[in-house]
Amino acid sequence: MLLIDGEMEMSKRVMVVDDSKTMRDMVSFTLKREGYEVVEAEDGIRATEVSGVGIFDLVITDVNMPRKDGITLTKELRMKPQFRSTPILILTTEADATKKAAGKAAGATGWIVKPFDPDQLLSVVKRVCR
Amino acid sequence: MVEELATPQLEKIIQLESRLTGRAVDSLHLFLLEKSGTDDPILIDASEVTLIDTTAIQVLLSAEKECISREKQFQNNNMSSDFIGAMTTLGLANVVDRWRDGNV
Repeated sequence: MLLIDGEMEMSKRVMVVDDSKTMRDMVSFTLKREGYEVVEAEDGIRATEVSGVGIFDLVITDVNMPRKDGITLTKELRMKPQFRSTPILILTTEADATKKAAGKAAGATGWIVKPFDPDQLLSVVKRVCR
Repeated sequence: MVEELATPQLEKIIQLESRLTGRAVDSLHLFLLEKSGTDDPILIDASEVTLIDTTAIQVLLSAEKECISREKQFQNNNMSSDFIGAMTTLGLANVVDRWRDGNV
C-alpha cells in the first residue's frame, strides 16, 4: 500500500514473466522502488499458475521462454475473464518485428524494447496501469 | 609515485568477461548489485568483450541508472569494437558516447 496525501492507496500488482532471473530482477527492482507489487514467474506455465491467484493490474512478459512462450501466454490470458482488459506488455528486442505483430494479434497492449531504459519502462507502465 | 596513484584507481576498474551471456551475465549482475551498495564508483573496462547479449547490456544500463540516483560515477571508456557494434545494433550509439564521457 502507498500513502498518498494522507490516504491509503492499494499498490498496483504486476506480474513479470521472464526465464532470465537477471532480467526479472531488473524489471522488478525498477517497479518495486516505485511502489508496485511484483509477482515473478519464470515461464508461461508458471505464469498461468500464478494468474489464478489474485488480481493483476499489469502483465509484462518475455517472448522466448521454455515450456510456454509469451505469445501463447498472452492468448491464454486474454481468454480468462479477469485478464480481458488487463494491460499486457511484451518484452522484445528491436529486431523482432514479426514477434511484435504476433504479440499484437495475441492481444498484447504494447511492447517494451530490450534493453530498456528504466525511466522509459516506468513511463510506459504508468501510462497503461492507471 | 605514478604506481601509487595508479594502483587504487586500477583496482576499481571492472574488467568485463570476453563472452557476456548466460551465467556470466548473472554473475555480473550480482557483482554490480553488491557494488551499488557501496560508495565506490563503477568504472567498466569492456575492451575484451567479443560477445554480449541484451540482458548484459540491460544490466549495465540499470547499473548506470543506479549510479546516477546515488550520485556515483559510472564510466565505461574502454570498449571493444564488438561491444560498440552490439550497442549500435540495439540503437544505443548515444549511450556509448554517454558512457565514454561518464556521468561526473
